[in-house]
Amino acid sequence: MDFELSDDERSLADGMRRLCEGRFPMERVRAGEGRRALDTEGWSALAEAGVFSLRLADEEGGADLGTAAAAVVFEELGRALVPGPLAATHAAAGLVKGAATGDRPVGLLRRTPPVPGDPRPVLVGDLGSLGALLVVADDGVELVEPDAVGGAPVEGGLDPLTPLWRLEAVPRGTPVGDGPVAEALWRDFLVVEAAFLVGMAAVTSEMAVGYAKVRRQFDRPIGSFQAVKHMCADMLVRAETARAAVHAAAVTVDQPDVGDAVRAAHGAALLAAQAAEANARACIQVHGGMGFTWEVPAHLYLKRAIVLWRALGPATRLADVVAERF
Amino acid sequence: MDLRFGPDQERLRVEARDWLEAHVPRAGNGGPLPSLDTAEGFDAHRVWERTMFEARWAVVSWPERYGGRDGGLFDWLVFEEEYYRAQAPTRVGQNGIFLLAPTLFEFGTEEQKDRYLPPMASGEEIWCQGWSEPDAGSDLAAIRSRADRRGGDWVLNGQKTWCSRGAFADWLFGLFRSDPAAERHRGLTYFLVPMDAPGVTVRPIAQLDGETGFAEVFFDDVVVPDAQVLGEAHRGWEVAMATAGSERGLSLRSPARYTEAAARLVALHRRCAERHPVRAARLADAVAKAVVDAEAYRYHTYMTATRVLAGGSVGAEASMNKVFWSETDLAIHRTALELLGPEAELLDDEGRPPAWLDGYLFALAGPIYAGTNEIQRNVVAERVLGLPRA
Repeated sequence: MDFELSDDERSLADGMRRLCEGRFPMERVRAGEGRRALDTEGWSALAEAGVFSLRLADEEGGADLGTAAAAVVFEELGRALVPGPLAATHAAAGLVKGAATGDRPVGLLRRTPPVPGDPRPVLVGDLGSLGALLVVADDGVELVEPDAVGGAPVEGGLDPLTPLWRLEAVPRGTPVGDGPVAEALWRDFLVVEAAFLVGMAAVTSEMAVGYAKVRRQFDRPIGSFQAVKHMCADMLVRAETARAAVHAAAVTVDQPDVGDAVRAAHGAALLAAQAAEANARACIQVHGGMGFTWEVPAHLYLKRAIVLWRALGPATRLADVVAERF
Repeated sequence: MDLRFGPDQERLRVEARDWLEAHVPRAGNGGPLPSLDTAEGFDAHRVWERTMFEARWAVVSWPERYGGRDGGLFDWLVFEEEYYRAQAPTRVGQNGIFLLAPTLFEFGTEEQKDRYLPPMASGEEIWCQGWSEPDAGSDLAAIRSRADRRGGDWVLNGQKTWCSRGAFADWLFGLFRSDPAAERHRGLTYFLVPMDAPGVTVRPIAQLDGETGFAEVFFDDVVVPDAQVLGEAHRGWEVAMATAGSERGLSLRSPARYTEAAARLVALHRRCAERHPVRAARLADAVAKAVVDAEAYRYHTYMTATRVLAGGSVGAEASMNKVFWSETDLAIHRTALELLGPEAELLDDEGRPPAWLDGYLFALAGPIYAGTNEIQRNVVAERVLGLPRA
């Protein structure tokens, strides 16, 4: 039992943070607001750094690292709010040719049983840049060529950094994996996306604390007021507990004998999504009027949290899987 | 990161599970024990402590010479997981074992450790905590109970309150003001006081759950020798804060308590789904959230334990744990009450008081004891996040 980052994991995190600071500073990320195509230069840099391939074996062009390492990397990407279908492309690296090298960005959709009278629109992010769309169901995975999807661009979607397309129905494609493959693919997607969300939750917590230390009212920093302190303390608690759950889920994928990785992944995703959303909202609140401006990026973290959470499947499904498998 | 327990811990787990299976008092086998907040229940729980001690399960993480197994932090966590899994009795000795003992190991003399630890482990001497006073709760450094030098001894005067187990405990560990002239955090001394000493008066306090689990304790010229001072005289604040770290952080509330409660909640939810499917469907999210939170607390504890074993300390981060476990506990019990509906208020099938209701009422104390959650959030904000003091 050693539930702390190893030295290797720590230096991986440091390296990834440096890469993000160099390649994805906030002003660069924000330059993509409203754009419908991926920043291919940035995407290639991530592919070269091994973001998509790192869990593949050496001979497959990977770094032979585990899911724990992937979680560490994705937390850094989440901190920087890097756009694009990162988690799906990473999770699909062993399944879709060209995903590991970044040549084919991959989207991921879950086919859920239709609910009569509730024709939920199907939304897919970054469809225009995808090289493949995977549709995951309980009994298998299908690959759909993006040209065959036929989605309509959504104008004015919630997150200016996630262009959306609306589909009439979840499309049919070619089977590329059976039930167990589908389960593993969705599990891995949840774990790395949850890590991304933890990174977001951590950053909004730091932004709020940083602002509370410098913003002055009544002749003192607002961070000296208990009401603000307690909001900040709760943000830290949410981020830290979600991180523990995400690391545990990642390690459980790598060490299946320690628990049920599918349950852990769904639980971690639920906790991380809640933390990312709640912390982004609290970050806006701590910033007061500034928090409601377009200028302060707090809203971008909130919007991404909502969009990513929706793509993880409804909260009820995450919860159901946890309870069913307990 | 590695979540696998070592072979020694897995062996310990199996051994503990077998022993608990054979010895935990159950219906038809002397159990469940009466409430430990009654005289009869207190004695029954003391007997259980003795049974555990004789099998060397009372204090697995202590050195063997005091009745332990020389176990590490993870051995203790494994034992706790099995203890709660077996739904074994509440530890009547917990204030001594989990709160005072870590402080005795850090600050006690050899004589003190030899004198106090073995009977603490065996349940022969049960301890209560004497910190809060009527005018010093969250503001603990405001305590006014005094310790004056007289001859070669100390003389204690004043009043302590909210002493859990105080009604029946044998000893009290408490803070007294020994130097009224010093700055308020400095002039305090940490004393070990027998509850049967002349001048000690105990008055039980009725709690909102109807039990008399805590008490107020009055000191009227109680004479205590130097041998019963823990740590240096006038340095009691530092000694006390070491205990507070264990209380809030690791040793008072092991995560197994909440993962076990979450497992019972899931079982309750399944039963509810058969009889009240609509209610069960409405509460499914809350049940899952309780499970996920309880497990996250377990993993967070593994993380903290790893840090401690690597030479780190629990420190102010313990405050973060305390907020999380106390609120998770409340959420688990509140969800159970909703699942039960009106049944929550009735005696169970075997005619016993409704356990979930009892648990809920007790959970209300969680955000208060061991330092209110408001104070904990201040500690997190100031000492972990570096926000300025008011």
